[in-house]
This record gives sequence, C-alpha cells and structure tokens, in this order.
Amino acid sequence: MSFFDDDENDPLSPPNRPNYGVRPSSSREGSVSGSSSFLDRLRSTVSPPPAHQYSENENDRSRASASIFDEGSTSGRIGASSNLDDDDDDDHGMGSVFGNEEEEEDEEDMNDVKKLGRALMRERGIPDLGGWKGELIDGVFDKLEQQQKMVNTLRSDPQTSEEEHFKLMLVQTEMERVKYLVRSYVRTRLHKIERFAHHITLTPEMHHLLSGAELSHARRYTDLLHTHFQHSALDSLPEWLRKMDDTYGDGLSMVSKPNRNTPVLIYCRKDCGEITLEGGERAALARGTTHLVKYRLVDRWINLGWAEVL
Amino acid sequence: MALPKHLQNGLTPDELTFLAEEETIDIVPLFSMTRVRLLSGIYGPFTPPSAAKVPLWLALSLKRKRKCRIVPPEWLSIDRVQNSLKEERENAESFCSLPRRFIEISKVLLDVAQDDLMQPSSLRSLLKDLREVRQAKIRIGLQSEGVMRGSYLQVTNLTPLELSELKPFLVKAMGIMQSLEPRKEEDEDEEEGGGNYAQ
Repeated sequence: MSFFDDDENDPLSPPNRPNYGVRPSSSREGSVSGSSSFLDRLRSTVSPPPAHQYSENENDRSRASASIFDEGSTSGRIGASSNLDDDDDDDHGMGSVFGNEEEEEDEEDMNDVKKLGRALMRERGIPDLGGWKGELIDGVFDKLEQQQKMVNTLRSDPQTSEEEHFKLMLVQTEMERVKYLVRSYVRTRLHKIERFAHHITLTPEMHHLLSGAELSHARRYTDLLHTHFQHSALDSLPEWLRKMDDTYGDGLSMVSKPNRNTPVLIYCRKDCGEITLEGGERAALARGTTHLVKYRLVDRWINLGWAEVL
Repeated sequence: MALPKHLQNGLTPDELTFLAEEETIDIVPLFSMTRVRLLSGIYGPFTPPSAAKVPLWLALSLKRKRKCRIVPPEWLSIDRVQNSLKEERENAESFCSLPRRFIEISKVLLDVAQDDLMQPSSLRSLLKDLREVRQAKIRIGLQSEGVMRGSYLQVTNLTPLELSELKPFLVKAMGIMQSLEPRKEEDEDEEEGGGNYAQ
C-alpha cells in the first residue's frame, strides 16, 4: 500500500467511502444495527425521546442560549441574571464590551474532545449551573455514532487487515475516553440539577441553561420529592408547617440556591479589567493570571469565555 | 448521588491527568501505519524514522505496546527543570511560569516512558524538589496576614493540579471568614467594579 492512496483506502476516514459515508441526519433515526446502546441510553437520558424532534429542539435550544450570550444588548444578560444575583446594576458598562467581542480563536481551534474537557472543567468548577452545550454534545454524539458504525462494519468484515484491526482498537479506546467525558459532564450537571431542582423550577430565567430533558427531569424530581415528603411526613403536620418553600425569619430559605459567593478559580485568557472586592480593594484581572475569586464577581467573563475555570 | 462526595470539591488528580492526556506530544513510531482518524483529529501517517504528533494517551498506549518512542517535551529536560528550580528558589515572592500540566505529564512520562527520558532518576528528584519548593511557598504564602481578606487570592502561575489540592481548604476557609464578617452592604459592593473595564 503506498502512501498516496491512503486517503482512499483508509477505512477510518468515512466521508471518502461511499458505504460508510452515512449522513449524520440519517444516523439520527437510530436505524443502525443496534450499534450504540450506550449512546441510545445516554441520549434518552439527555434529550427528549423522539429522535428527529430531538435534533431540532436541541439546535433551537443551543441557538437560543448562544444568542443570549452573543447579543450586544443587555436584555439577554439581565434575563440570565435577574433573580439569580444582584449584579444587574453593574451591567451598564458592559454594552461596549459585548459590542467589540472578538472571537476566541483558541476556542475555535480546539477539537471537540478538548472542548468537552473544557466544558467539564467549567461545570465542575462553578457553583451555578452553566449553559448546556447542546451543539457540542450533539456533534460529539454524531461522530461517536459514525465511528461506532464503522467499527461494527469493519469488525464483521473478514477482509479487514491486521493494521485496520489495530486502528480499530485505537478508535475504540478514544471512543471510551470521549464517552467518559460526556458522562462526567452530564452527571456533574445532574448533580447540580437535583440539588437545585426546586429553585430551577421556580426560576424561569434559568430554563434556557438546561436541555429539554434536564428541565423535565428537574420538574419531575421536584414533584417526586415533594409528593414523597407529603406522604411520609408533611401530611401529618399542622397546616402551617407543610410548606416546602418557606423562608425563615433570618432570611434562610427552604429552597436551596446555588451559592454565588463561592470562590472559583479562574485563569484569564484575556484582559478582564478590574473588579472591586468586598473591602473596596481592587484587583486587576490581567491576561494570563490566575485568581481565586467569588463566582458572583466574575461570572460574566466566564460566560464570555474570557476567563477559564480551573 | 449523581456525583460522589469525593468528586464534588473539584477535579481530582486522576481526572486532571485524564484531561492532560489530551495534550499532544511527539513520538517516533517503531511501526508503520497509514493515517488514523479519531474524534480529536487525524493522526499519522506513522513511518518509523519520522516523528508524528499524537495525543498523549495514544503515545502512552503505543509505548506500552512497545510500538513507539516518546520524544519528551522540551521543558522536561534536566537543564530546563534545573533552571526552573533555581528560579523558583531565588524568587520568593511569586511562582515561575511552568507548563500547565507539567506535574501530570511528567508523572505519566516518568512512569511509562522512563527509557525515553535522559537520566530519569535525577529528573524525578529534580521535579520532586521543584514541586516541594512550590508547595513550601504556598504554605508560607497562606500564613501571611490578610490573605483571606476579601475572599480573593491571586494564584498566578500555579498549575491546576496544585490549585485543586488547595481549593477545598481555601473555599472552606473563605466560607467561614464570610460567615464571620458583618452582614452589611453585601449586595452593593460590586456596583462600580463591573462597569470599569480596561482593554
């Protein structure tokens, strides 16, 4: 085999081989020969059940959430942050910042796997729920599915050479690695969603951060929990003790919310200006520096991707 | 539930190592193979005398099968590490800038690809020294007064792994400090900070 024809003969470059070059859209229908039970399972937990509807929903959702962060207006910002925190009033200076938004060239260059790693780090690092990376996860799923199909086809083909078998092993190793990343990402979110389920259902501003399945899970989980509490204990208590969303005299609420005062570790990929700390002191978030700082003070830069969560 | 307790404080060293294994590294393959297309990109072709760039996990997996030789990254040489160590010792105030994943990468390389490194044992002890000097500095830094005030700490040039060791302690300490502070004007303190943006 010469080097020149490896593009055509390389079994692992799907677009060039007509028999493997299945369009992603058709692969969504799940008509594949039982190829990806993991993906099916994960997908069914991650997204609403009907496969074709799923793609549209997901795209709409990610577009919606993308526009919220990309738009030059502050309306998206306020929508995203009102009720959650108290930084509405400092947004007036941000208009210009949103206007001259440069594309994060680094972020664009990264491959999906790295992006996924970044998304995982971020989700782990922040106390709040980050936006659902629908597009990314979608793309990764499509690619995983394609790879899985290829692996299946090549495996059952007796003509597959030794070298191809070795490649298949590499491909499968990587697929497992990627699946692990996706799982970690989803479970981290799930943890937060269950923890703040009640808060999420009560705050429509947060809904754009969740995927359809996550949102319905949050709702169902809240209902389930409340019904359970009611049946097991609350029903036997006096009426005025039965509420699940009471606030005590000292301002402590029964609905647990993300504590936005939790410090997060950030690495500034761009110059993020100055922030004012509690005592009136100022701290400069210069490019290339790392800080441990309250999430509340830096969340907008994290959302913009200027600051990376560690 | 969804996330076991030990994972809730942030990323564990194992997870950080896993993420570090996505970084690319040069290898010299000892076998030939055409290009291989993976989710993270297309790697190869692998032809024995010439080097190829692959993700670290792939390099390690090939190395374990004795199918390649790993070219250690530039910073992982006795000279460079010695320099960093010297710099680190001389400069008591700040930390010197090292590759972000240097601990994780040097660890896996020392474990798996010892024979590809120059003087692995002295490299290992140098790296250990470097790490200890940095840890000592962190400890001293945390003792100094006023570190916790304002719930802010600049930790430039510390690597994610070092930070993940510190984070649970710091977050907890800051939480306690916060609860001790009087509860006044809590909501107004960032009014000016947000608008003040310098390009």
